[in-house]
Amino acid sequence: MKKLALILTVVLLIPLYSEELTGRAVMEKVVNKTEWNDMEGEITMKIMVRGRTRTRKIKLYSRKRTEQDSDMVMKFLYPPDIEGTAFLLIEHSKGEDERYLYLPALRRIKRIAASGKGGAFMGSDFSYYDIGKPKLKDWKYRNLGFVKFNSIKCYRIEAVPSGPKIEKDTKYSKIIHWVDPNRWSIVHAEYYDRTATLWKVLYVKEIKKIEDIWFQTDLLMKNVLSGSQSEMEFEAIKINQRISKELFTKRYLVQ
Amino acid sequence: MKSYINWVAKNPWKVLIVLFLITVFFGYMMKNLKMNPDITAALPKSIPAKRLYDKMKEIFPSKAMAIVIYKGDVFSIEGAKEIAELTGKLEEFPEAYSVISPTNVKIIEAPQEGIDVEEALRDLPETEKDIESWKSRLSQNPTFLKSLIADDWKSAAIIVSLSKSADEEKFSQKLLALLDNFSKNHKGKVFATGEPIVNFYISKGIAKDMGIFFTSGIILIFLLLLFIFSSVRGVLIPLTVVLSSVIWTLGLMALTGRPLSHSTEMLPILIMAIGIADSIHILTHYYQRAKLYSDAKELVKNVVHDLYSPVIMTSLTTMAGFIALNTSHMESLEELGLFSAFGVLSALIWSLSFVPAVLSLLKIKAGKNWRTDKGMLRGVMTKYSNFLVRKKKGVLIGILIVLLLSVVAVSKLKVESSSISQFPKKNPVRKAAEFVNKHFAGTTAFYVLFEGDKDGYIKQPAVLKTMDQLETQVSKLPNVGSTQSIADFVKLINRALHDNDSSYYRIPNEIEEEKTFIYEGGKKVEKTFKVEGKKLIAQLLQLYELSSSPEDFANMVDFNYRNSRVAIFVKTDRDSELRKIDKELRKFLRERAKGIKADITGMAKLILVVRKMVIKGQFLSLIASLLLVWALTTIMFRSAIIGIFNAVPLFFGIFLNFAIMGALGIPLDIQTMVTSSLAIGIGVDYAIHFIHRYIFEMRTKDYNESLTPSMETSGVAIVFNSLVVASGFMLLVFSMFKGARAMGFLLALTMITTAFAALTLLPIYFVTFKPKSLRKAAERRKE
Repeated sequence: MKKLALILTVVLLIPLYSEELTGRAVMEKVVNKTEWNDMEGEITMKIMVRGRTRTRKIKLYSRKRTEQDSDMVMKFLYPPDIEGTAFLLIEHSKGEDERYLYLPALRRIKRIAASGKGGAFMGSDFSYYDIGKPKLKDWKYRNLGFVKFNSIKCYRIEAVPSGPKIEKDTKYSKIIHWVDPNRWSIVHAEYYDRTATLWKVLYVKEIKKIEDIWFQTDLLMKNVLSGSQSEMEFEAIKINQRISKELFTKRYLVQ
Repeated sequence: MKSYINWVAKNPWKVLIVLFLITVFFGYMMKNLKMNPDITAALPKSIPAKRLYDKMKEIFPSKAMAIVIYKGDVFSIEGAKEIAELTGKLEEFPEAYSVISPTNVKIIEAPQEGIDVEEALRDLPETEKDIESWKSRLSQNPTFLKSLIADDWKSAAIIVSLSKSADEEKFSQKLLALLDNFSKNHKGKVFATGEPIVNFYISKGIAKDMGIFFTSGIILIFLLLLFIFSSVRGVLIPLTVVLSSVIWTLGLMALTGRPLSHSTEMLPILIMAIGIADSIHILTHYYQRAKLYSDAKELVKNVVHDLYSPVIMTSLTTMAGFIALNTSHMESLEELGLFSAFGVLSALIWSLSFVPAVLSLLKIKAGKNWRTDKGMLRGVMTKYSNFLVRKKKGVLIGILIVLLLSVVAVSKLKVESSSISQFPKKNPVRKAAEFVNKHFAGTTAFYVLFEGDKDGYIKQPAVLKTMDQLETQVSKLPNVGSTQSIADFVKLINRALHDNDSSYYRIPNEIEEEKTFIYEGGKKVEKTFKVEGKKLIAQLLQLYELSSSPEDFANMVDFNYRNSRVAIFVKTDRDSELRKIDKELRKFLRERAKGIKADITGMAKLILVVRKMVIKGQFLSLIASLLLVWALTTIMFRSAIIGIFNAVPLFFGIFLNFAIMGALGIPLDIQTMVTSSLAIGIGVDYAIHFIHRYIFEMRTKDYNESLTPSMETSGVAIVFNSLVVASGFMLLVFSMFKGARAMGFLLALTMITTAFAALTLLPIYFVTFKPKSLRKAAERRKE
């Protein structure tokens, strides 16, 4: 699944110390080095706005259906009034993704139309785009060279939308990624809005090695314009559990 | 005091240098002078509606909104494209928190077993069919329809909510420039209104007014002085006094960080009109005695020694009257009171330092013909005093008839005001606001804020039902354009989730019975089950949030669903209409929202509160200033009875003021209320001067004999002064704002009526009843 793959940006531990890499090449290493077929985990999402916090807990399952497409199921565990609701995403690299939500209060499944990638993910400061796997062709990358970040020598990679449609969809005019070449993981990022003002800053608070794969397990996104911030923490990550494909069906959502 | 005057005459240069330095300082400070068109900023926090208003600003992400109107062929391919283009341009404003237009408003649809939340105009239209589908999509969201599409479908509105950090003035300026440009290059015409835009125009109006007031004030004073003195010093000295007093006052305002507002914009006129009197007074006596002296310093000392006591006294009473404005608790009025008092004090300081200093430096010059003009007035006053003595019964009857008519007129007095009709009819922002009020939901809003005690409070069926019923109830009232709340969305989503079944266009009940199908032995069987309404609501909101963005609700409910608000858009800002709606809202909350914490706020409510407070406060301050004036004059004349004599012309003037307002249909509002309090401070001088002189004459004459000489001296001065001050106030009619114009007219009128009362009621009373207190005062004076 490409959406969540980025959060869990996963990379083999093969340090490549070539300064000649282009921005695109660096990002390819970040994006395409995933080595898992399925995964599960628990996400705690904390959204902080004006001194108040909203917490949501989600159980997540994901699997690669094909080389390009993934499936994902999110079961909401908290708060109680939405407990039991479950979200199913079936990606189609050719054509529209399918999204479904099961509502226990109605005992019904509803199909949700896809909305813009710039939309907030569950009301957080993460957009659907931020938590998804970027399509490399949507962006023009430029390697801005090495820079020290938290005493790690990192690549600074600039990404600008390849066209006006991407800019409108994502609402970004530019993103700067800090990439740690040891782990091929993004360790920090800055997002600029369409007026080229710094809008959001991503802090990667924890990167954990789970079965030889580096996962970003604690992400904090600060909106510097509104002052709100959102944090996603991943726990109990397990990979390659041979999750049944039955799980990623509408029928299973009801259970 | 005398030794001070002597010192000034001896050290004129020192005095001039000190005054010059202070003036340069204040003049330099003036560059920091700000304008504040916001009437709510001045409200004390102790008022519940103001506390709620501030809390509301804290809870919700945007504080003010601008309404942009597109007038043209909305439902055409070209029109749709232009509106979409304009929407895009508005979204680019960094100050814009959200932009809702007929093209981008979210529409909830329920395709087979699904939900679809998308912008009304998904893609730019290419055929007439696209336009028809856009139209029908728009009709599905009745909550926004009235705000976004005109009743005749011939114009569209785009609502721009500003973020809290936005500089509203800068935004308005940029927006108006953009719209100007847009209108030029497109088929549709665009214009804007809404609070930030109105405030922007008010600021512009205040700045323009200030310019007009300054120049017209200077021209008027220049002409007047030329007429009286026809000499260079006679023109320049008093002009310097008043201009410097204005500079000191505005400089002090800037120094203390007080902004110019609707109320304080009249300060320059007020200070010029009042401040000019003392220096004219001193110069007149200077010219009168010029021939008797050869040494300028001696002449100045002699004149100022005689005059400082009435000059100080009248300034003090005027200041006291102004300071009494403080009782109204409105910051902007308190400021008007305090700073105009400071202006009077500045004029007093200048009159008693600058004037003697300059005159003692200049060679003595006798005036030429300055007296002859007054001579004519003197003749009139002589005849008038004889007339009063002869026809006192007739005059009294005449005054009584006027008073009786006045009682009738006063009873017709209305309390009414409207900020938008302060602007001239042709002003673009007024035209825009009137257009929105006529064709859309309206520009003024009440908000009913629901404050929960825990997260998720708003998701309860009982709370949402109360909001929904409130909307239904208040929508029945005339002038209510539309209502909006999260309850409307819950209803829309509920319907969408039940396959567009219109019987579900409602808030779910505490316990809902839902249907589902299960397969039993290969057969599809319908089964019912019960579910808590609260859970159902939470889940349908979650569905919406996953389909679109919870940001869509950000201006209706906070993100933890603890607090929420119902917006009620009103098509007028006349307080008589707002009061009716407010009353209905209060009744609803009292009777039908038991156990729910909800209260009314919003600009509409604040307008009502401000006006009520000011009018109540001003009655108190009227009484306070009358009492203060009475107390001061009692001390001055050392007689409580004479203190009352001083207050009588003021009563008369103020009563007549209200009568004329009633007769001419000028409503009671903030500005017209202030008029009377200001008038007291200024008008009391006439009675003081007259009584002072009358007592002076009484030393050697009886009641009847004292009248004519008093009339010929102070009577002439009073008539002259009241005409000067009144013509000064008449300059306010050049203001852009209706309120300031009314104020100028009423102030001018009150000057004349109080002067008339001082020169008519007092003489008749004195010669008829021969009050002993005057005789005693005259005896004291002899000693």
